[in-house]
Amino acid sequence: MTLDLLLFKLDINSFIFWGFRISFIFIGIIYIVYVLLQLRQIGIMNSALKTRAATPIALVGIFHLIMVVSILIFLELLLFIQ
Amino acid sequence: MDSSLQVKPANSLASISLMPSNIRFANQNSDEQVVLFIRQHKVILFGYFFRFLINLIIPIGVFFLFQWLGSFDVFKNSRIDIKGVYIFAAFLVWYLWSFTSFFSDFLFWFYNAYIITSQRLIDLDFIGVTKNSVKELALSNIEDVVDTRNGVLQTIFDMGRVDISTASESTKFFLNNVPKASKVRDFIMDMALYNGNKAR
Repeated sequence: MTLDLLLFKLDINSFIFWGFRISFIFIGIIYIVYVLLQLRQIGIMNSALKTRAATPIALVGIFHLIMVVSILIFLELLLFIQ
Repeated sequence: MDSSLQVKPANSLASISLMPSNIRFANQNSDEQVVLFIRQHKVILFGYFFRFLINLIIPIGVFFLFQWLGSFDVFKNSRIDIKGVYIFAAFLVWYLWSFTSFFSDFLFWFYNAYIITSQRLIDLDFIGVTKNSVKELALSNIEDVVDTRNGVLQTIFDMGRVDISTASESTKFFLNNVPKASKVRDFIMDMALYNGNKAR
């Protein structure tokens, strides 16, 4: 009974919703920065070591960035803008 | 130089290639030739791939375990609203991170390479997204080369650690999980002796 009252006062669903949303955006930005840094590192290493696999790896890196950004936007739309 | 070091024809994902024609590096001198190119043994890459496969299975297993245990029923009479969409989102994030993790591991394997040229040894290190280093050592400065095999995997797959030291105590190079470590050690020492004799 007491727990139920406390949950009612806090409006737990709203609390979860906003807590989740803010942390999602925050973690999403860090994730995108990580992938961008990874892409930059691929560029640096490809200029240090010149092999035939350089272009495919760079393409996978770009695909990875596109995938991360699009999935994060998709999840933002799915979870928070309903 | 060393006929005992038999390796398969070079390809971009080879762990070890002798006289590779398709590998160059930054600031390569015009009279310098890549003699040996080494990466960590491919079994390391298979290990990363196996971890990726395990990561693909984990969420499905956890989902069915939770359903079997009835863990989702806890929220039925609660004010906390756990929708199926949250579970779907968690799956998606897990798979995204699994791919990122595998790609990072692959990059770590691919760019951690050792190049032995006709003049020097180059150690390319890709440590993380914010750290990389390139170390060089003139072959004529090599004093000692030691190979060590440690552990079950290194013994089974004939790979090991090759430590290279120079006269300077601060300069230490080590190549870890190198395939055919003893032959690589012998090859490096032969190259060092050859270059040392040329320098005299």
